[in-house]
Order: sequence, then C-alpha cells, then structure tokens
Amino acid sequence: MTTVSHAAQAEIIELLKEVKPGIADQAIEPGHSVVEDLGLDSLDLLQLARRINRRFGIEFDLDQWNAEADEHHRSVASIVAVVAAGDRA
Amino acid sequence: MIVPEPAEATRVAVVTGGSRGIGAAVSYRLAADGHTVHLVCRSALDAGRRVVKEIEAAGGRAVLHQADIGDEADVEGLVERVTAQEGALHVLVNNAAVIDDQLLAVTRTDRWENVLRTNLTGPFLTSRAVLPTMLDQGWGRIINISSNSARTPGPGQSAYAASKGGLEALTRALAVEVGRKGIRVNCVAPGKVRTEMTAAVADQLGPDSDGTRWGLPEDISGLIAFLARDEADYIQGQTFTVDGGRMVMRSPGRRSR
Repeated sequence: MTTVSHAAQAEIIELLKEVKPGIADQAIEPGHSVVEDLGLDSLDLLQLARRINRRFGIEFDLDQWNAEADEHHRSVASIVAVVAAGDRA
Repeated sequence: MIVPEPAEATRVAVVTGGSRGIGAAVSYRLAADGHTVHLVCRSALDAGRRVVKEIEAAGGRAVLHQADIGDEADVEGLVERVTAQEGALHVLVNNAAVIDDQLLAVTRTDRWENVLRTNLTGPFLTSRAVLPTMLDQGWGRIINISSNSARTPGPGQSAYAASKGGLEALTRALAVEVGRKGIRVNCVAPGKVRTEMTAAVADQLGPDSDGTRWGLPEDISGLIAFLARDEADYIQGQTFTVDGGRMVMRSPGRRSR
C-alpha cells in the first residue's frame, strides 16, 4: 500500500465513524465490508460518498462501486482504492 | 439581557406553494424568524412577487422560483438553483397542493392522478431532492402540510383525502429513515382555512353551524415555523391537527344535556 492510500484509509475510516457513530469504538480493517460487517445502509453510503467527494475533491461513483460489489464486497479497501484512483486521475 | 444570535439567521428555507394562502403566511413567518425564504409557485407569479416584495420591505430575504413540484426535472432544477445560490438548504415546507373534488364514481383517472401528482408525488420529489444537502449538514427540517380531510373527508374528496393520507404516511416513513441523521419530518394538518385554494369549497359549505370559525393562514403558520426550529428537535414523524377544535367536537345531535 502506498503512503497516499495509507493516509486515505485513515481518513476514510474517520468518515465511516462520522456517518455511523455506532462503530466509533470498533477496530476497522481494510477487509471489512462496510455493509455486512459495519452495518452501513444506503443512506449512510450516500452520506459517506458525499463526504468523500468533499474531503478528497473527487467524484465517488456510488452506482458503479455498488455494481462491482460482487468483486469487492463493499470492503473498506475498495473505497480506499476508488479514492486513490481518483487522486491520481 | 440575553440576546442570542438566532440559528435561523443563517438558515435557508424552501416553501412550495409559497405565493398564496398558508404558503405565503409561512414564508412571511420564516422570513421574520431570519430565514432566507425561497418561495416556489407554478403559476401565481404575480402573487409570489408581492410576497417577496413585502418580505424585503420588512428587511427579510426572499427569492421567487417558478416550478411545478409534480415535475421531476423542475424539482431537481429548483433544488440545484437554491443550493448553488445558498450553499445550504435547511427547511423544506411541502405546502403546494391542489383540490379537485368530485364524487369517485365520476372521477376521471387523469384528474385523480393530477391531484396525487401534486399533493403526494410532489413532496416525494422535493424531499428526495433536498436529502443529500440535509445529510451533508446533518440537520434538516421537512414539514408537510396535510389536511383534516385525510381523517374526516367530505363526499367528493377521495383523491384529495387519499393524497393527504398518503402524505401523512410518507411523513412517518421518511422520519423513520432519516431521524438518526438529524433530519426531522413532521406534518401539520389544518382544518378549514380560508385561502384561494379552498374558496370554491368554502362557498359550497357556507357559514358554520358548529361554532368554529374558518381559520386564517396565520393560524397555521406559527406551528410550522416552530417545527422548523432547533427547539423542535425531539418532535419526529408526527401529524398535528390545527383546526380550532373542530375535530374534537361532538356532532350536535349527540350533545349531552
């Protein structure tokens, strides 16, 4: 993992805890599914995507990310990957 | 002396059907509380301009928009304009409505659908459009305007009553979804209020026999303004009847001696 995505991961975990205060004390791993393991619903995801866009200045395509859920199981790492790709773009 | 800066001084409100009747009274009232008020109307632009002028003359801020709230593209455009201009949208008052009373047996489908589209689909479209901004803020107020007709409809009110009953159910359903995000969704159900929309009905019904007077828009706007405030934070998913007591009165024949 690059330094950039390492920093992004820490920030994304921070944003996850903002939109879902119930997981504030939980140890969050890159492999955790934000839906199945962390319990985010579609409203949380919409809020998260908009906060990611503002924080990183990217355009998080929630629909596309959802469409690829079979591959990445909506893991924390998959969000980090989108942000890292967006940062490079 | 305690003079706190009111939070409302920086808040942005959208009032649909804001040019006349209850909507105009709510617009004045929210502006008086410090909100920047964006009034929306479909056709009564002259009336809307008068409301804006009066609010501005009183030192408030108001902006007029033309949009059909039953039209998805209109609603999306409206909310985009408001959020682009203000960078925020705190309060949505879903007030715009139409009455087209007819006995069900002779109600044409297109007229049924027109009532449902404005009175129920409209609030769905506006609520959906404002939610992303309210989620960003972690604060929002959606106030729907229903009617006593949802519970005690008169003959000919099937479309109107169904639309308002649906709106009250929508209020509860949306409240369940967004409450944990700091968004409050409530509903005010006026009784008979004298406005241009009810003028035709008022003439048919004639004067009162039960001792309650016809309400004025200003009888309704105070509660709506309260529900928009921080103080209303613990009120969620409710419908409030404001009808001068008509709903709780017994019918004359059953009065005890």
